[in-house]
Amino acid sequence: MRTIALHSYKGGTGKTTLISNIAAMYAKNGLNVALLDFDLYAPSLGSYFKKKPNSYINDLLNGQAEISDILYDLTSEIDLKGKFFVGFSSSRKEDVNEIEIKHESKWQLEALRRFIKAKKELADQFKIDYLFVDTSPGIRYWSINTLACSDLIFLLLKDSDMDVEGTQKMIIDIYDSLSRYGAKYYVILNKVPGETVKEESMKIRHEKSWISELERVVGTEIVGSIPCFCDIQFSRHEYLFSVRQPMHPFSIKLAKIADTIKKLSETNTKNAL
Amino acid sequence: MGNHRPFDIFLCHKKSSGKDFADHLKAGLEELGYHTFLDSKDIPKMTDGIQEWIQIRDQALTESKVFILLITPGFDLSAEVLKEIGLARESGNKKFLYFRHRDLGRKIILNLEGQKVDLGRQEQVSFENKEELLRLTHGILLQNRNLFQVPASTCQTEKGVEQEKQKQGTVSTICAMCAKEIKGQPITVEIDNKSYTFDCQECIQTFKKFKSIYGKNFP
Repeated sequence: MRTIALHSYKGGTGKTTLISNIAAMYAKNGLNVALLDFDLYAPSLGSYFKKKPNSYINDLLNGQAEISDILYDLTSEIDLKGKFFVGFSSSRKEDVNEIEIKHESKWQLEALRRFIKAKKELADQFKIDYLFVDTSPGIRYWSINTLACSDLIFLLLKDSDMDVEGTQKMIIDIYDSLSRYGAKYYVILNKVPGETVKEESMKIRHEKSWISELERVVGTEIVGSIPCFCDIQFSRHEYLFSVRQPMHPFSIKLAKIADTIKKLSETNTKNAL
Repeated sequence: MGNHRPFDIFLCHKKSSGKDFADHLKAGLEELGYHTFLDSKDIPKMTDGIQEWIQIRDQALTESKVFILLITPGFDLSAEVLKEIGLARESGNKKFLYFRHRDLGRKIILNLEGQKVDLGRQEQVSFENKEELLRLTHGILLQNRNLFQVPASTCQTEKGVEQEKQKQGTVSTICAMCAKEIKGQPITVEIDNKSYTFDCQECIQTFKKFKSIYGKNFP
């Protein structure tokens, strides 16, 4: 099983939309996929999938539920070839507070161990091929924990100075440490403005040279870029659009990125062996 | 009454607004092994008069270790609910759990036979639906499992299993990362001048990642 995390320095970069769509695309192609909402401080998958499960990731971390209790099977609901399980985290104020401030370090370590144990069960018992982890933005305790448990990390970046500088800092503080022990990380640009302009002379910048410059500044390979599509960006509730509308330019772009992620994870696994 | 099993939990609720929640909670807790008193289910329909009804209710109240109050609209207007709260407080040997429906504010002043009791000062847990109520209750009961002699679904705690193994002379080795019992050959690795035992290479790599970020604060 390969574990893939999507992360970003700031919120609102499109992690949930991208990770949900990519995970569903993999399941559509016959892979067994689990998607876990580890944005424990501001959960969003519950609202994205419009589900209210009986048990949450919070219960798993508290030792009150097993991984089998928290997985929601969406396979038949979306008509996919492979299995598609989603684990939600609780948006109750008390549960979020508990993760944030109430628990002491002993609990945090036990919770981390429960997550690692659950990961093993996903691979051994549920035969999951890909585990996708939606993380909290920035450098927070549980975002670091989920990143450290991942094989491949994709950093979503919007083209703003604040985001670029924050990403640079995260790479120095966290990613470089993780990469010393086998983790690989790459950047994906999202909501790129002006990319849909066809006429080259009308563009405010040349895409290839701009990406090279950004790669140099951030110090990391950029493996994909997704234009800002107004119909996606301003949709009240985008829901697995790339699976339902595979011919839309957004879906085509995303399919390409999903393919890149798969190839990178296969290369990473080969190198690790 | 020869085979009477004492109640673990007393469920106090107002019928008109809390019956659905109470019914679901009672069924769920019984399934989890907690013997839970709910008047509508545990007092036989054929009970002979109000005195016998009170007697059964009071016995359940006396023997229960946990008193759960469901705070639903108008609960504080029910004389029966107030009576049960008063009796439970008098008995003095119970853990009180207050579950408040999210539509209600936490500031609630009860008038218990002339004595004002501010429930806003007590720890309250808010809930939205019956599934959430059961989930939250189960979580809190697990944290207070020492109150019960037979919490059926949780009597096999990890500690209990380990103690049993120690009695049998088979002490297991635990992976330093995932804390799982190592079934195969343990792998011992020295990290930062300290020896750690793991069950697989993946755990070693993950451990090293955490160590590189958290330093001596890990594990």
